[in-house]
Amino acid sequence: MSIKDQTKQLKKEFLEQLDNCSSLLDSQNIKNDYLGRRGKLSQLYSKLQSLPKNEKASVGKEINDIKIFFSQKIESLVSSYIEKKSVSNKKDFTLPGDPQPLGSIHPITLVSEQIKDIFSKLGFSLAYGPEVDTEFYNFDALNIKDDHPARDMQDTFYIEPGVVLRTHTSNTQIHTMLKKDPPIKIIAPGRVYRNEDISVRSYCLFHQIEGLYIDKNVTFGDLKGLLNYFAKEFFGKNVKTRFRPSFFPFTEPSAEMDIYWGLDSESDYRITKGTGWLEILGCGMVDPEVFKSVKIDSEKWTGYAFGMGIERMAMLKYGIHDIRLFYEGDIRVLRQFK
Amino acid sequence: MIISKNWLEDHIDINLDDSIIESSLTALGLECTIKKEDISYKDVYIGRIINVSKHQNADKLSVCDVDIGNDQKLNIVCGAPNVIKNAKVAVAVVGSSLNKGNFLVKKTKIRGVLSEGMLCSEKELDLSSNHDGIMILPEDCKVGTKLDDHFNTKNDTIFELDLTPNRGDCLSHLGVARELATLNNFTIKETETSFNKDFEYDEECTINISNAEACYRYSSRIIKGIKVEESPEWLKKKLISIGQKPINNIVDTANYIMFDTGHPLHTFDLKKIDGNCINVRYAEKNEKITLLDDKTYDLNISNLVIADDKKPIALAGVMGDNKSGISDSTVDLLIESAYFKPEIIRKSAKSMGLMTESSKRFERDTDIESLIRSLDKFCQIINTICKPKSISDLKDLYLKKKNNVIVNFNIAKCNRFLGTSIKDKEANNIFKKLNITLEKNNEYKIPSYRNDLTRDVDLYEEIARIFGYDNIPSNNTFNANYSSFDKDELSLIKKIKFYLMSNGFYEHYSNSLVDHNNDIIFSDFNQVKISNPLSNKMQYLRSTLIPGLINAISFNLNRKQENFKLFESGVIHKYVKNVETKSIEKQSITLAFVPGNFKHWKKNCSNDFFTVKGEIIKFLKYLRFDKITFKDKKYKGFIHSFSINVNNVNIGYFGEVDNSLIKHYKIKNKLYFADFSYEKLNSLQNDKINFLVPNVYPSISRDIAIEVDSYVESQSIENTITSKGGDLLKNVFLFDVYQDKKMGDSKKSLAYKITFQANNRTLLDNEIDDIMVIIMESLKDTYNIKQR
Repeated sequence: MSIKDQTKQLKKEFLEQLDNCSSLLDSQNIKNDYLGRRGKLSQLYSKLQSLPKNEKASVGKEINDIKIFFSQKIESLVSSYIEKKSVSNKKDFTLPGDPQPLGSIHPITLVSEQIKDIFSKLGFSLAYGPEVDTEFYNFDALNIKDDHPARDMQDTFYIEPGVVLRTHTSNTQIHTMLKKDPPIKIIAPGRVYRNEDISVRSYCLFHQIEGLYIDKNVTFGDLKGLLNYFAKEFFGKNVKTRFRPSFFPFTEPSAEMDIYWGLDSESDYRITKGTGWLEILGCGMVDPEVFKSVKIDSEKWTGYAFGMGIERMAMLKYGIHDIRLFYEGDIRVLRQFK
Repeated sequence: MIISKNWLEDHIDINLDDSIIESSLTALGLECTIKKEDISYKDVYIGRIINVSKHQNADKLSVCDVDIGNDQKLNIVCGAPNVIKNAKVAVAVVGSSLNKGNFLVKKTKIRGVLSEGMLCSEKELDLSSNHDGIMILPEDCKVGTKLDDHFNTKNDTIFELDLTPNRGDCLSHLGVARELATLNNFTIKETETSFNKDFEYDEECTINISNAEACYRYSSRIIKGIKVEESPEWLKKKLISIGQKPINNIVDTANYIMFDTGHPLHTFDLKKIDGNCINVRYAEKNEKITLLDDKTYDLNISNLVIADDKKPIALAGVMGDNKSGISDSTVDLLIESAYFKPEIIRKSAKSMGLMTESSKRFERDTDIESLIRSLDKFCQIINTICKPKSISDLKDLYLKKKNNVIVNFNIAKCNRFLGTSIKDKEANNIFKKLNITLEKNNEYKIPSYRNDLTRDVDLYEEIARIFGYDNIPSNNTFNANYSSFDKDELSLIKKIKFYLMSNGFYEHYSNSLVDHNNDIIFSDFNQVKISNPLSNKMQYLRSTLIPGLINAISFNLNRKQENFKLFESGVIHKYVKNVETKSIEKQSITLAFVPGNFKHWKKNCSNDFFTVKGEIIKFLKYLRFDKITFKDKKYKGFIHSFSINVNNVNIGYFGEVDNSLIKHYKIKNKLYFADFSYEKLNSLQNDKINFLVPNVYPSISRDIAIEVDSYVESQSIENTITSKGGDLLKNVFLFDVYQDKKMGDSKKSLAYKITFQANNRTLLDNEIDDIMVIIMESLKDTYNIKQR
């Protein structure tokens, strides 16, 4: 485009902008854009250099003319706004409002409330169990026998022989079943402890939510339906799930539910071990041995149980990579969660 | 468990892609990932150390001249303790990459000496976790050969299985092959074993089992005239492919059998067995054993041992002692293949703090019927690779029979349990794949290697597993019985949390494992102590939420954050001796205020004690409390503190922290805390609202200003006004507190607006005047006031 055409184009744009201008600030911005030191006109001036001598004079004059035209137009507009302002009122409405500090809800609370809401809708009531408990509730009644390697799956803090910091919220299953007759339909959130060194991936405590449903004719298919619904609510409608056999002493059959996470980034490779699938929760049908220890007739009642780690869910949901961030209380972290 | 595909093919012909194998095993419950496509070492060569000299600037480093063939010699600095002249080693030359490409070998100067490559340890080559020194290769391998060619393992695929503790049967290639066989009706290859049996066992050794309830079966053979040497290449490669370190032909063969069939074998040097007899018994009191790890262990009477005439020579199923095993000078050996009760081995290993490949398998239970097969496979390999003079006949002591497990299974019940409609025929087909056989009506016999299957539900899981968890229909309706519904006893917490957030508090979660010294600053309770803590800074359970909040406050102050509020809601613990768990747990809610100045164009504000007090009242009003009173009371860790009461019930306290007690945090700011018992807040909840029709009669207000001694508390003046004001008094509002030079420090002026209103009529000025006179007189009598 020749410089001539450019000036024409510029004039057209300028006039359009003036038409759309609605405030003092706008008009000042337009002035800057076109007439400022780095404005569009001075860019045109700089192009003059490249023209042959004979054209320089005529084109230069053209730019000068347009500059005068722009200045007159914009100055009159700016002053009209200033006049209006000083007449209508003197108040500066752009001053900042009074500070009203807003706090935050911890990501663990946010995720746990979301999970609780999903299951509450499906008729699950809330139940709670103690953090310090006896081995009976934390292990024995859950069919985690002392002489079985499954006992080694969790490193345990002891208060004294027979008394532990619970390693999972599953102790609440036992407390509830001993207190209440079926049907039972509960979720049990809470803090659990593992005697593991603190690192990016593990902390000496974390939070779980446990679910337990005991009724007549509860099936494995019911469990799948429930957890598929949960996954959709929590991760989104298009989530892909899979169930695969696993082992927990207190359920049989036992399963783990994975969701398809994808393999889009290097971190996806790392967290899914290159498979694209990510383990979300453990579940299964309540083992008859558990029923036996709480004196529920397993011929009459069946049930399922499931459990998941809240930190893990929060880390996935918000892309947090270091579990220790949850317990530092850094308000630069906390204020991001509402 | 590391599994090699080549090795699997010894048992089964698999024509499946690696990724299909990976996902199929995972779907069968053997969580599988492909560890590496092949063990490929780019630019790693076999070299020979021609010369070793000490590094001039570092005692622990050596400088090696290394011949890597093709007339190439490299100068390499190495820190390993086992560099010796003439050793054949794996050399990673400059530009090669190790650790799956994550580590690039570069030319570098180490303490001033040029190093042109790296001598590799087994760990660096991903062969094992051994990093004690560099890997020394056998003498017969050729300098200049690529390590890839040497190992010839390129076409293998290595799988890593994360096995659940119930599947001990899959801790072997045979076990995994059996699982894969269920996929396509593959068949497991049977191997025949044959070798000559040359002499009578009993002439050499006697076996005795003293405790058959711990050792059901002990079978063994004696092999004579062997030569202990390096294993042949095929055997070494097999072991290396799954990350095991080759040792010698005898030990390697025993290990090979363990990873192949899953049954741990143990070898003894026959000459080291005193009295030519083996006794399987419990240890006696005060017996000791020095195991292969060269550590001496005190044995107790629940430890099962293999003993000779004089002493224990092995901790049964866990580890042998450091003398009776195979050494370079071993000529005759006894090979043991035994069945130990899982609980016994677990207890032994646990009490010694040991976990070996052997104990891992015995703990998870082994196949009592496979003992002879494993034993004979061992003999056959030894027969081939080290040409022994003679092998004895079989000695098999089978004292306690393990009965076949028969499980009653009903497909209709199974379908009801799983929510499926699997046909009888299909179920039987699944059982066939698993070698589970129908004995008679609904009674199924479990193969001896599946010790995890004993009940009908176990078979439901097998049906589900082979049928495919993902093929079980997902039921999309749900049931709920009203009788299962319970009130959430912590529901108020959610309400509180969202209120606090809206009012500028950040929610904090702190570690409940705390330092005793921090906890007791603020708490009168006895703390609950952990007997096996992570560190002495985390030895106790918190009995107050305050120190956790102070940690967070300190963290934030150190990062230039100021003028903020935090809160935490969580469990605190109190030690109580006569409770079974030694602990009483309570829900606590604690608010932390770190006030500061802030500048704003309208006015500069400073938050202080009264801001905090105001916030507490607002919070309690939100919880629908109205009779709120504060009482001066000393609380541990505070300079000024007040109990907070609702309807005269104590629900918590607040105050200003005594900073001299938390000097170690170096906090200069004033800190205020309010601490509430959730139990109390919850129990005082009342959802009644006493609705009143708005009063239509006008109110009358009077302002009074009084001068009073400084020490008189405004609260008591207010109380006096309220008590004398009678039914008509509706509100007393302090609107000014004032002191000037004329009054001096000893006096202050307080100004109140007092409002009166009647519910049924318009008040008259003079009746209010009368009440005001009574109020003023009472104030004068009580407080020596001056009306201004």
